[in-house]
Amino acid sequence: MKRLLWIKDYKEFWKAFNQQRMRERRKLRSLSFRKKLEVMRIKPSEERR
Amino acid sequence: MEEKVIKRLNRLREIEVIEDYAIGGAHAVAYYLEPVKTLDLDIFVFVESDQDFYIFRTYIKKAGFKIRGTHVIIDDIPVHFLPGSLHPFINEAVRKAKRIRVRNIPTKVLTVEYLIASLLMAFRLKDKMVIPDLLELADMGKLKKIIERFADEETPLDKRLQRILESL
Repeated sequence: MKRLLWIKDYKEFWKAFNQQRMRERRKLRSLSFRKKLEVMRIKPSEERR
Repeated sequence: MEEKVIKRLNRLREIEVIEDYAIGGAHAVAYYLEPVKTLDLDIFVFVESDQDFYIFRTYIKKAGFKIRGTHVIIDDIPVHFLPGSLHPFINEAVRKAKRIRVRNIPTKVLTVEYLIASLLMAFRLKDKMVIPDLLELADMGKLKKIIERFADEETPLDKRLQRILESL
């Protein structure tokens, strides 16, 4: 993610951004359903945002 | 927390307040894809007759669960019940749902094909956004058969699916 802050080229930025995002999504998809349920919970402190 | 709700739903099935249920909505999407924060838990409930629905509704009222808008609050989780009396699709989706376990607690989640069909019915922006990823996991033959049975003028599931496929 740090690397993204140093990219100045627009196309290169979005390419790196999408790659990073896909990696994160794949990681989240591989979690167990139990873990996913924990991630999904909206904490009371987040409810009013 | 959801585990507690699942245990309660299993109990409702044991004491025959409901015949069967399955997890749908964002939680079912998360089962197949990545989790996204959500406020409520959508539960599809098998309801054969108005009498069954009456038994279920009366139980919820008498059990003292808080009702907030369209949600029943169970163990601090807003649960959105979708009874089969609303649409025959719901009963079929529950019947065909996939058996899974959460912390070894048995439950059911909509199959990816029924989940896609339910999202095509709702067809809000957030539904449209996840359908392409779910389609990669679906059996298109099974999905098309479901869509053929439940598409009508008001909910043209076939046309909606076509629009999504064309946008890929």
